[in-house]
Amino acid sequence: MDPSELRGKRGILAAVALLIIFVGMMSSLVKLSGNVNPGISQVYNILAFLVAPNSLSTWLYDWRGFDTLLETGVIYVGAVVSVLVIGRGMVRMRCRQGEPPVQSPPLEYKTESLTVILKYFGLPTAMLLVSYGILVVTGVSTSGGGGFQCGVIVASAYLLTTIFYGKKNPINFGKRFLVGIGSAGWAGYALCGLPGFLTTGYWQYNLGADLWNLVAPIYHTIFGDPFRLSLALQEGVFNSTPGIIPLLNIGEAFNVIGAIGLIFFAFIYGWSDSPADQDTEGGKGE
Amino acid sequence: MMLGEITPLIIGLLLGVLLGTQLSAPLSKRTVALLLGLSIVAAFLFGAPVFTWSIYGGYILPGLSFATPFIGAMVGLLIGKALRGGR
Repeated sequence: MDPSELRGKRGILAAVALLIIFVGMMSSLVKLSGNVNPGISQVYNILAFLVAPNSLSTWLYDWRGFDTLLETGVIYVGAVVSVLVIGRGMVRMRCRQGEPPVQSPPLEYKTESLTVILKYFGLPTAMLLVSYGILVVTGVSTSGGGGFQCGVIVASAYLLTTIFYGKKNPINFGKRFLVGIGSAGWAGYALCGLPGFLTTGYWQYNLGADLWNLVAPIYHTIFGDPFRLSLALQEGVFNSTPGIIPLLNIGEAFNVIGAIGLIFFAFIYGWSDSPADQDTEGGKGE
Repeated sequence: MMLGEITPLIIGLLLGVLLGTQLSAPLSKRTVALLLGLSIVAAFLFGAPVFTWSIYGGYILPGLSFATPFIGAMVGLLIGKALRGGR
């Protein structure tokens, strides 16, 4: 992307968003001082032995959230470095424009050489894989995590169809789609922190679960009820909700689909920033 | 019945539609039937979360339950494919 594109409204918007996130995270960290009991939480002690993964994941994710966000950042850095090191010649950087690209043999896949099973079951398998990835991310309210796994599974389905069917594969993830979904994931993940910050002062505070009883019940309804489940146990019925965790995971899944999908995309199709290539079918920079 | 049993199904459907719009391969009626059949089998194998107790969450009888988000995702993929156009 040309840095000059960040001038004007987009640049101001990006700067304001980054400033809000920075202030929110820093102030949350300052406020946390003295409010955190090391070790296992009270809620965990009450419910964990009754097999209550909701509360467990709630507690874990409050802390793992930042960790996982940075992990996906590492993926992006890994993607850039991989392309720079291995994919030189695919990426036409401006400073290298004078040099001829490194020519590699064209990727030629011949579907007629595939076995019948692979030819006819490749696409159904890929679609089932995508569905499985979606199932994993929708299961976060009953298990600890799912966004990262969903992204990896969907990206694997994309790679699978590329191996089976070649460049014109059935899962037609274009450059714009991958960049867009990755960016939406980042933005969604970050924005999930805003409601908690505005109401409690803690960035990414889980309003739906509200472990510290800081917010009004209306926030439990808005952020908690959509994912609330009733745990019918011998000791009684417990209503438990993961709050904003599923939303965080969906953002994370988008982010990982974009990140890993772009790695595959760059190696399969190459990469070009020229405006003419942005408008090709699916935004593929061939 | 709790909302937490229905929301994953809706999210699965919407995510399926989103990703389904990126599918470009032609799908015959036979393939669609195969996909729906396999997704029901897969949903049975994955089962419903143990915390769901109604048909909305996929729980039907002891030992018989379905991962409804999986079926929702597959239906969403097919809807998204249909929205994109083509066969």
